[in-house]
Amino acid sequence: MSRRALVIAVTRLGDIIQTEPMVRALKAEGRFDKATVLVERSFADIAGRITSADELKCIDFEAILGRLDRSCAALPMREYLALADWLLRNSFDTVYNVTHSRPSMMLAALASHETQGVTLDQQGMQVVNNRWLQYFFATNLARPWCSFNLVDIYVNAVDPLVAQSERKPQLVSGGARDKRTLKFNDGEVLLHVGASKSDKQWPLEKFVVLSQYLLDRGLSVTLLGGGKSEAISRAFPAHKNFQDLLGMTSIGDLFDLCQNASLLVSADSGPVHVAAACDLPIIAIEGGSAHGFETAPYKVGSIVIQPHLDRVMSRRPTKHATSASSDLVSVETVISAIDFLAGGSDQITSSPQCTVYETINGENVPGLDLRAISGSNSEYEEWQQRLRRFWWRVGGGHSSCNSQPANDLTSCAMASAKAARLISQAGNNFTSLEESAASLSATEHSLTKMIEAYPPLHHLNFFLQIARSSVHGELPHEQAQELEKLYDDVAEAAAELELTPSHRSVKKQYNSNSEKVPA
Amino acid sequence: MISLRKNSIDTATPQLKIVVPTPLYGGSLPIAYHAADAFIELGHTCDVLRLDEQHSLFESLGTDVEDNAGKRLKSRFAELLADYVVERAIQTKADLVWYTAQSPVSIASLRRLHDAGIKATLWFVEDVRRFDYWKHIVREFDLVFSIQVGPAADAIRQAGARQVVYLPMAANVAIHRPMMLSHEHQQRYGSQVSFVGAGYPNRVALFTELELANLKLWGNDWPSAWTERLQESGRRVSTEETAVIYNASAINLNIHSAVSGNVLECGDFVNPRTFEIAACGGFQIVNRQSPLCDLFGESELCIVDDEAELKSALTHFTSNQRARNKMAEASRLRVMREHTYVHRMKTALNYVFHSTIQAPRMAAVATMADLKVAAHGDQDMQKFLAQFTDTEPATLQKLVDKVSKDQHTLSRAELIVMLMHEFRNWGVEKGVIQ
Repeated sequence: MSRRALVIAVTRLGDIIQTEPMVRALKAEGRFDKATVLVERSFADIAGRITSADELKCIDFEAILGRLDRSCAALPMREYLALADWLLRNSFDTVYNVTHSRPSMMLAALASHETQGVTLDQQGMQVVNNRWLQYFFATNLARPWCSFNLVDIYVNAVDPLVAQSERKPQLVSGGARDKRTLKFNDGEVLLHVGASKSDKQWPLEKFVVLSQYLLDRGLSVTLLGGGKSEAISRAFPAHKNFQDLLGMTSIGDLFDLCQNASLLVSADSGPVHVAAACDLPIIAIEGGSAHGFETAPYKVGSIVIQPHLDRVMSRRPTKHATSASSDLVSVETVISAIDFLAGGSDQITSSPQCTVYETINGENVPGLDLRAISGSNSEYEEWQQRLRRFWWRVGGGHSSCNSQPANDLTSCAMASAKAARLISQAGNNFTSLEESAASLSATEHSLTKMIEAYPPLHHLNFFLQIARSSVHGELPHEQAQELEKLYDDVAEAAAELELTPSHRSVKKQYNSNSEKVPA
Repeated sequence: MISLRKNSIDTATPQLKIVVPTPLYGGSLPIAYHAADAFIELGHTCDVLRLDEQHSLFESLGTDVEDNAGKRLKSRFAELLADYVVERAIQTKADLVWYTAQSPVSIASLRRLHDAGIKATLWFVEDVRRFDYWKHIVREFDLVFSIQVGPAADAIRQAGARQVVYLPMAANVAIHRPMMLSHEHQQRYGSQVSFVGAGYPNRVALFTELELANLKLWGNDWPSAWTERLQESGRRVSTEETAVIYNASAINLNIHSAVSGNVLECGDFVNPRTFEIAACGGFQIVNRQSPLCDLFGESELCIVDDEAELKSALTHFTSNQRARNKMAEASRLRVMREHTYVHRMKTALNYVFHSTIQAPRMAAVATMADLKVAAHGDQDMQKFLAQFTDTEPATLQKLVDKVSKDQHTLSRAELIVMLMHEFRNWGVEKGVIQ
């Protein structure tokens, strides 16, 4: 009997590309015989390039979302029934839901009882299954502290032991679809100026200055972006080596451009991930809601310029605040990064409050990592390395060889594990169960309080909250066994964190600032 | 059944930064705190500005300085607090300032918030007929939530409010919950019949007429001569104490205040006490209010229309503990399902951030009969749609309302309805549909 997996990726261009290694992992080692990817119709082209997927299913938002507008007289009942029928008919053994949205949660619940990621349980409650996808959700609520590239999170959700060499997105390139006649010159640089209102966008005037510099150096410049904008187009100088393709490129065009160009300069965007899949050298300027450790292009040797989030070590992390505005990144930094990539310089001019990273293969933990090559946010970067080791172990990886002594987190997590174990042993005695459950709650409360002392660990609290709300089993002892394993794993992994009194002083800083610091 | 599973957090909805300025004092003060608790429970970041801590200073401005000078100082102090709220919201880049009735506020401060792109809402948890200050400020809020329906809500609209939404009171189940009482507490707070609240004229008239020997009255502004029934010299009772009293009383009387001359007036709002007694698992006899039947059923509360019914109910339920317990438990479950502050704040935020609250632009609305035709051949959906008459308008909200809120395995048809619902919410949130 063939085993079938469904990957729900009703999301954007970049995210779809980033799921490719995961789909490949699903097919590897006989885990599943067939993998189907569910996407929104406008991304059918890019999803069709995921060769590891056996089947593509498209949802037409025009039909199922557009007709939910209040102005529409009739609900799109037939379309929804057809979608539900398709899900039922295919009898997927497992669903991997790699999106956060509530519609995707309902889709997962309709598709299968076995879902990895967010779905509804038998009581109709929201649950998130799979530790790596729980981590994905937790860090989405505390984005500066996501320590893993999205590609690695997805792959690890299937198997953390997938080799580094199997983690890079592979897409079918080119193809004879909607191809336009494009002019290519030697030394062509693609500038992706993106959407003008995006909080991730590097300022337009800086792109203009950069463009002029590149043209003066004799290079060709091609302007890319999602939509045609007269205002943006007019801002750039007219030049024989400049072409404006704003709002004019299909996915196929994008692949063609990336295969023939020398470099892409862009904020975090879908084209960055297309370029990475095409092995094009990339300079990614992070900022706003994008953060390099999570969103960097999955290609070793790329340059990632990251503005620092103010007071990152002491502020309460949120879903929105991930890094400072990319305004902080100077044109000089980008130009020196171009020289660095071209081999003309071994140094990059840093911008104040920014770090320039190079993407590398992780050393102790598989996956893409960042190494600072200019500027530094050392305390933050040290924490990210500790967190990579910590989460790698929580998520089922092996321990590293440089584990630290036991610390506050070890003892608090062990206390919770012990309390959970007592519930497992309490049998059916109601009073005893109630007492044990109260004891577990008390230890969990202490654990939560302890973690709150360390802002870089706040996402661990989100993770634990999600994990606790997603435990399986009807009976207390079944749930307790899962909780015991969870806390045991956290306690063991805590050895990877160097929680010293100096780190705890973060708490004092946090408390003293908490009334003044924007969260 | 014991379950170790914790409540899930809504990981899909963006976290908001919400500033909650409390009133300086009064009945709306605890409600601001309850709302703040609910925002936190929903996973949002809540900055509670505890302005009640300034109450003694505010009062002293009026008592230490005489006449108009004192009044002017109090007014300036209130304006200062209003400005403080706004500067705090701007500095912390808040998404929303959630004002409760009586929170310090000024027109200038609200306009400054508007200019900063921060939403401001008012939950007017008072009877609009008792005050008139709101008439001058409601037009400045993005949205006004009212606990009243009918002409009272219309009056807010007529005063220029951009949007007025009915948002009834609720219970904070972390405070109002069933309790195991000590013997000492049972003795002190317990009684056969109790009432907690201020001595409004209609209540004084009612209790004068009833002459209940086993009644304990808690609260202020009662006739000082009522020394036997009035507890602890008519002091104000804390929110936490009300929970103990509701738990300790066999029958909790819940008489709404009235502005007309009627003793038992059928008003246009349901007071917080209704939800709080129910959340405690307490039994209550409540006088009918026009929105009450939308919130509770007759099997959950003993609802009376006049004094004769009240007397009859007292007689019946005094000797019928089993019936009391059954109704009390039913009302408690109803609160847990639908009437906590978490439910209310979730609804409110949906209105503030996800809904256009515009009148539907439907030209010709399809009926349930049309939906049944569309679902032809799908037995599960047909069964679900059979709950509706053919001529009803086929709105998504009607379908969603029929999906049981109890914890249960959703049927395929219910899942499809909820899928539509979530897609619509998502589309509205993203601004692609209305």
